[in-house]
Amino acid sequence: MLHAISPIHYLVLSALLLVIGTVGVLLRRNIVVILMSIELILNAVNINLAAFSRMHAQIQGQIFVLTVMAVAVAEAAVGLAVLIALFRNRGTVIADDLDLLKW
Amino acid sequence: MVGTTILPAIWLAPGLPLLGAALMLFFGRAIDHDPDQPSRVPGIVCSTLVALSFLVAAICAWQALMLPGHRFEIRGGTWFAGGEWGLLLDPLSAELMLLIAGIGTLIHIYSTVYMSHDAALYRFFGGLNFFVAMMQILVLANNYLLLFAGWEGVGFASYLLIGFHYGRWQAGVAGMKAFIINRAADAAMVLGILFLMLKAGTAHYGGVASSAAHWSDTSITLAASFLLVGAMGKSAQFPLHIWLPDAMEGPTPVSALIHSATMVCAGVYLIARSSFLFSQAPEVSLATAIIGTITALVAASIALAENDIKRVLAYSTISQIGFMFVALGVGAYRAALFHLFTHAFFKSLLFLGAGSLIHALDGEQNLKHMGGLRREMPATFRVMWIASMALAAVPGFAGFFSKDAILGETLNAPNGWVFLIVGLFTSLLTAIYAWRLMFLAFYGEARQSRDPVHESPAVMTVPMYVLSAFCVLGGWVLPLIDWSAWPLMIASGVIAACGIWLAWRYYLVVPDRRAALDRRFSPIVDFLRNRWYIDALYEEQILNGTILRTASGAARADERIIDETVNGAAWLARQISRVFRWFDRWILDGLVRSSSGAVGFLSAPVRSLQTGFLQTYAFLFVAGLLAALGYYLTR
Repeated sequence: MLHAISPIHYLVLSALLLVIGTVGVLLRRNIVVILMSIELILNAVNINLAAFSRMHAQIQGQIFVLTVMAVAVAEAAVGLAVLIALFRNRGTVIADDLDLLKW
Repeated sequence: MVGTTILPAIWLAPGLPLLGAALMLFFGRAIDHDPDQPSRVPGIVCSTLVALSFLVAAICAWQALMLPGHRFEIRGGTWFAGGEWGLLLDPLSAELMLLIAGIGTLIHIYSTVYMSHDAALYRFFGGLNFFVAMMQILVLANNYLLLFAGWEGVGFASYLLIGFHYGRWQAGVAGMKAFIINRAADAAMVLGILFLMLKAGTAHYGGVASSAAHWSDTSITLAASFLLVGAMGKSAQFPLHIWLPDAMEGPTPVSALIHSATMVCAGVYLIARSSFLFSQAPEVSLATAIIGTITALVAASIALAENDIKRVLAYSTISQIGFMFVALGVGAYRAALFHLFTHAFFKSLLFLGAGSLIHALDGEQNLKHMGGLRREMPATFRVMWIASMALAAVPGFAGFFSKDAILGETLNAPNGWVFLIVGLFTSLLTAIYAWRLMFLAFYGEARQSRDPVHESPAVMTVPMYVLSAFCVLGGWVLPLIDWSAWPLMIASGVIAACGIWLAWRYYLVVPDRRAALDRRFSPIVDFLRNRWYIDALYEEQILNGTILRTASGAARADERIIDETVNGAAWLARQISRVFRWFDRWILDGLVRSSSGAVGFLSAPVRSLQTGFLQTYAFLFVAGLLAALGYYLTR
């Protein structure tokens, strides 16, 4: 039998995506992948917002989702631009090689 | 002219030449900068200024003598404690003022041609003008301080002009010698002037004179002695005479103006001006007369053996000033000034004539290399003939009357016959050396290397003619001639004639026997040629003895005391700085370093968090988030 999809399922999916994204940010060395992992985190939050919006039958959550998407697009654009400039200057996109902030 | 007077303008007499000297000092180099083409401007400017000075002096002297009391004084402000300073014109200063400006003018004119081959004439004429100005200040001063200012000024001018050809070693040394010997004598003179000021409270002649009337004999003797030493230095009296012959290294017009006619007379002037002291100090007066006698005799005898024409004349000058000192010593101030007057004319003429010879012979000064010049240089010969007649004191010429006045006065002094006998003997020597010069230079056969010789141009001969007129007429100052002393006149006339005859016989008629005679009396001849060994004595005793010892003592003191002090101070500074270095290194540096070290040490745990890796930061961020979350959830 097919169970109805309850909010709990959405929250589990969202938590899984968040963990995958966070682990990606922490463990992957390629900045392109890190940026992609950040997108995963943002989308985990979006799922949460959409699920609660439906559960409470209120529109504000879905509006927030659209706002987050717009900001995420802008963030990705700026992040990739920074990444290209970085690659041109340093010849690498590996995070461990970029340690100028060290004391 | 009645009622009008230019007497207040008397300051122009020294002022105009001083202006000339200043012009030459500041603009001379701009006018006369090319050594290949010496400019005539300095000569013309300076001669004009001296001539104008003479004009002012002549008018002022004439107007002053018209005044009641025959004296005129302008007074300025107070200078030091010297009382009111200013210019004093009386018969004594008027005589010297006219002599200086008059002979100075003639010699300036003469120099414009004589020096025309030299470069940097602005230095020469500037120096001559400065000399004239200083000499005028010396004689016109109304107090001892201003007199001393002029006195030092002429000494300095003399130094400048003797060393005019400073490229020649002897000229530079002669300049220094003159300066140093004069300084030594001037030291005594400064003491004398200070003593006068101390006792009288003023340096003004009148003030000193009225004060001196009440002084003790000791004070007067002391003051007069100091002034006498100063006068001996400037007037080249034995034993301080040695600078004058060396001063002949200067150009001949300088010798004529400074070292015969004017500057060396400053000592005579000083004593005459201080007659109120000397007439009260019989011992000092006696010393003056004795010094004068010795000087006259020694210098005349040396002149006999000199071969350098200018040195003959230099020793002659010393000898003649010795005569003046004799006159001063026996109290015959008027006779001394009379002889100063006539001597200035014939001696400057002799020097100018000698300069004319030297000029014509391309700088030859040795009498042994002259001869028979009366044919080539008739004008010079004529004037030199007259001047030598005057020097030899042949009756009728200027020198005769003045020297006779001195010799006549010697008998008024106690034991004056000694001065008289020595004076007459010196007169004989004078006639001999004067005419020895004439016979060697102008008679006999030509010995000069240059041929033909040309007479000097009119610019040089005309001043000589003017002077020769004074050599003839200058003695006929009737009020000063004592005809009652006719036996003495006859005696000195005979002596002069004998001297000339001896010179003629010895140097012209029988020159062959001269060598034999020189050999027979060779000790005497050597003694005279070496100038009585006075210069050698100075060199041996003063230069190599006293001064060398003093200098080496000073050098030792320098080494032992001053150098050691400096080195000791350096050592002390090093020791002190060593302590400071230790403090710096261990205390100050330690504080600074330990504070920075403490910061570094304490920050070490925190610093290790700053890995610089982006993901470390992200991990810490997440860990912190989870910790906070865990805390809230488990609470």
